[in-house]
Amino acid sequence: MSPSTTLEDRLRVELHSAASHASSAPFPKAAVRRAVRVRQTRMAAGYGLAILAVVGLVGVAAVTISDDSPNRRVTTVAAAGGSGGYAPLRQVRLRGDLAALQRPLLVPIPGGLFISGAPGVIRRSDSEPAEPLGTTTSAIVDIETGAVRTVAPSPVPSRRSAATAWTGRAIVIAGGTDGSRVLDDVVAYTPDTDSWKAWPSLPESLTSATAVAVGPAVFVGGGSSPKGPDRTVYSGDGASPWRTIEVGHPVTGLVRGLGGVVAYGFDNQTASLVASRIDRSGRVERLPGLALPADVVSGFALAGDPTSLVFVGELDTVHQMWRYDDGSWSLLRTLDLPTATLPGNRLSPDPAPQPMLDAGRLWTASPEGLLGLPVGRDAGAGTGVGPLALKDVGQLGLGFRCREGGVAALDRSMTALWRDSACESAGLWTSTRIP
Amino acid sequence: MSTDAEHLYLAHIERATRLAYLATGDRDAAQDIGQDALLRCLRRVAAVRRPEAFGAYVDRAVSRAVIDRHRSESRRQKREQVYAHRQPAAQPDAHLGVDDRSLLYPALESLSGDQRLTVVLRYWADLSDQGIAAAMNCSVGTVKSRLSRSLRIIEGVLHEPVDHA
Repeated sequence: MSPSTTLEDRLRVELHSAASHASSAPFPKAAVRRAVRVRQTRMAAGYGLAILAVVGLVGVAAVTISDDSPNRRVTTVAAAGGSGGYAPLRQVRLRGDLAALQRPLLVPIPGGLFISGAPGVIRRSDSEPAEPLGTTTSAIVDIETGAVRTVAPSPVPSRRSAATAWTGRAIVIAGGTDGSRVLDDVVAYTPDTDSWKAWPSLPESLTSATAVAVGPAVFVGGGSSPKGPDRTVYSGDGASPWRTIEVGHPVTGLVRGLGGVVAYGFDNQTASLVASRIDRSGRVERLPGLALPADVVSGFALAGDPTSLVFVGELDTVHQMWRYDDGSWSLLRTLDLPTATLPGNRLSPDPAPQPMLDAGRLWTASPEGLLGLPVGRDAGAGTGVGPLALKDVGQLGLGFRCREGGVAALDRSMTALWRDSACESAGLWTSTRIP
Repeated sequence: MSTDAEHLYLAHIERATRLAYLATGDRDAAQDIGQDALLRCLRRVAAVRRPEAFGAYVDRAVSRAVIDRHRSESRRQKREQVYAHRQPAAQPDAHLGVDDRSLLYPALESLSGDQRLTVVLRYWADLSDQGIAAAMNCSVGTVKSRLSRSLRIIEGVLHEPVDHA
């Protein structure tokens, strides 16, 4: 037996022995029953109506999907105000297979939301039994009418944690996991023709990766693979095999920014956030590192626009916002956010939602809700939390994606939220094409 | 009326409390953390709807509560150090036997809160790297780094070499 085995085995023995010294608190029967009553009340009323009691609205277009029975969900098209909250306007019942989806993909497309997923639970630890995923069901929710249209069946096996991107014509779904293996196949769905097309497989199996579309080209990177950490980004357009782009540093994920795609990661050797800009032709330009050791960053959000990147990190007990432009990083300010507010784990089976920069804010989803953090140099020390606090947004990695001029989020209660920049002139979250 | 919830509570409270206890070393806090985390989970519709996934939710909820406690303790100690210059060291749990104290506490007390929780989730809860990362809301790389550092620290405390081969 090697010394390390001895140490680890002794730790196991000692911990199991010590655990027996813990004693549970007396059974709080009343508290358990209260918890159940809360749950039953929430199920009966629906999240939409609960939120209605909180809001002042003048609206953002939104879709809420909440539970009212184990096999049925209510979809609510809603409008919401700039000062907080949102209110349901219309309800559409999702039935059958759609009602049973667990942690589906969410991809905003013009005029609607593409939802694709399968029932079933993927194990989250070795001690939890795996359950095979059911059949994939995909649908498009029309943001204007609330109508739900089930689309043609996907030709590939059901999966979770796939990378998705909207190319302007098709939704590309790459990799993911079926619970027992990591996948490399790629498929694209075209709403106009209600058809699926198989793309060439990725050179390597990837799950929880991110995908960014730049014109017809899709870039995929980050996440995790059976081979371990990678320094590679793949680009493809469906017509030819994926191109491998070596960026020369660890890649945790991709964001759109600086007129192309930015691959980023944490480099333990230099103890810094490292990033590279990749242009449409695949040329890589290394950006200056930002000295932030990975082991002190417990959560972060990174988003880009054509001229800058913004990084918000939780470092021990403080949050710092950094901005990259003109060739260097600068500290914008320290934020007063609750701890564990930012997404922290891009490699788990539940990938963190992708943040985005839009309308002068960095939008990110967290257990605290949907955050819109002002990124201007004169934004002061305010937290900028809100204005729409969807609880538990993205905590289970349900999805948070953007397209040009819009934001959409889907939270753990299957509440989805949408904003369109066509309404921007009247405020951040304003009305709406909803009748 | 609430039979299912009561069964879930009774089935998971012991594990929740033990996890919190090992991660904090504080029996009273462990009772509070375990109970609060479990009641929070019971209020979550999605978690209760799939009982087979409930254990992982409880692990995650307890881990987050432990992390929050460590952080609030850290902040409190920093504040108090400004005025008192020095905080008394944490006292070993008097309920542990001499044999337990002789190995476990000198080693675990040397770890940071996050490192200790990582060690407990690996060597007591037997979670994979990904399971620990999900429970602690951090990256798999961070988990590996914390485990490696923790073993080195424990090795130093125990004066026992670690073979990484």
